[in-house]
Amino acid sequence: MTPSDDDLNGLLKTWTAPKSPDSLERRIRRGYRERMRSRTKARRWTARLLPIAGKLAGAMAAAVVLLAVITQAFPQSLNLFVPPGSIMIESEFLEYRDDGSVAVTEYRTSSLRRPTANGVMADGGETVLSRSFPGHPLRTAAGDLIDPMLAIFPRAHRLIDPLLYKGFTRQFFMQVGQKTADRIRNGCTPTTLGGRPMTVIGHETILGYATTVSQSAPEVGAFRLTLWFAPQLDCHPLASKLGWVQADGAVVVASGWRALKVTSR
Amino acid sequence: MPEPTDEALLALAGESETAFLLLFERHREVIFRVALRLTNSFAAAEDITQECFLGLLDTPRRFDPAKGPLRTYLYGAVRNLARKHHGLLDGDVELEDAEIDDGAELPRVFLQQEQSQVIQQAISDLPLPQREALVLFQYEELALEEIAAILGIEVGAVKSRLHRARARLKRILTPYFQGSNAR
Repeated sequence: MTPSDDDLNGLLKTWTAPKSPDSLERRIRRGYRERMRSRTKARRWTARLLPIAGKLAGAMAAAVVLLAVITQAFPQSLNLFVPPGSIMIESEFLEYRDDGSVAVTEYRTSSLRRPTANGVMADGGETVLSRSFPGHPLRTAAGDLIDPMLAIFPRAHRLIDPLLYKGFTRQFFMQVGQKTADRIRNGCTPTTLGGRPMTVIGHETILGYATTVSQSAPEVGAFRLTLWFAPQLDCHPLASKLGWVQADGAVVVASGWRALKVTSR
Repeated sequence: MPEPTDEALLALAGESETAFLLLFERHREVIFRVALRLTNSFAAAEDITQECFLGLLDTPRRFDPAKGPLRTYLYGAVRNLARKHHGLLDGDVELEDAEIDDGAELPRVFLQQEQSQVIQQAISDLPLPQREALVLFQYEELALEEIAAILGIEVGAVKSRLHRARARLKRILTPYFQGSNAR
């Protein structure tokens, strides 16, 4: 015979749980005191470390400012940190305005590590040594502070600008290095760039270096990129232009970049 | 002088051992009892009760008075710790019906045992989700809505678990009833 609900309830009530043992209170007291002790220790350490951390931060800020002052006074000093064999490029970034004028938005001096198939571009290739932004003194000052530090401690890029380097793994740069090596072998004629087909449209000489001019296909509504690759400089471009393809097929050039001086170390 | 609320004691617990112990005294029996019934182990119930209260010190902000009283929060904490004791991680679901052995019977040796031991064993043999619902409803006399909030399920699911738990207990305990009626 299956028991009724009342039978079951009656039976279930017979299981009474015992009271908690007295030892539990002792355990709780001990646990409480241990946690409070470790918390006090943590607070004490924080109190000790905070002033040191503050001093350290102050010293680092002073070092950054000092570095900026030295590199402003002696711009050549940064060359000490450029690896031998690097290409040094002074360049300008251009903005093509609607009224037909062209404005320089940035002057930049960079060193480029020579890319090879074994992936020496793993640190990112370009190291900016100095920058100036015409008409933007604050931005220029920020660059004066940050760029020397990044030039001397290239890996600091990853700390200061994690977003930029997120996903830029060693493997990625290895692939870039290998692609560049392939490009050098075939005379700087990339067939694609960023997934877009590229065509060689001519050859020009810039600053005494022969270049191969490659251009992406003109797709309406998309950008058209033109690059001047120098085979002698491991296919590093010496100029670039970015334009937007209009509905009628015309291209409105928006921005560009060109090398002003190239030297090798 | 009115007694301090749980919230007030909890706010002071990090600074005052007395406040913490007051809070502990207020809830220790309930928490220990539930832990014992969910684990069927005296040692585990002690550990769980201790961890439950000391956990309040580590993460006091996890308790949100807007969501319910401290007692309800502690029930949830006990339940989570009991699940860990049973080797379940957060989010793990223990099978309920699949593992029920329909032919399960009370071993004959049980008939000679104390009644409360028989019940204890029968409840321990319930799948954990059913045991949780039964302990909170039958022994803690919580409302279905409160149990649903603690277990993070719908009221309907609580009812269903209770129904299955009771059906299983009736089936398993039938020989015991027969035996006890005959005696």
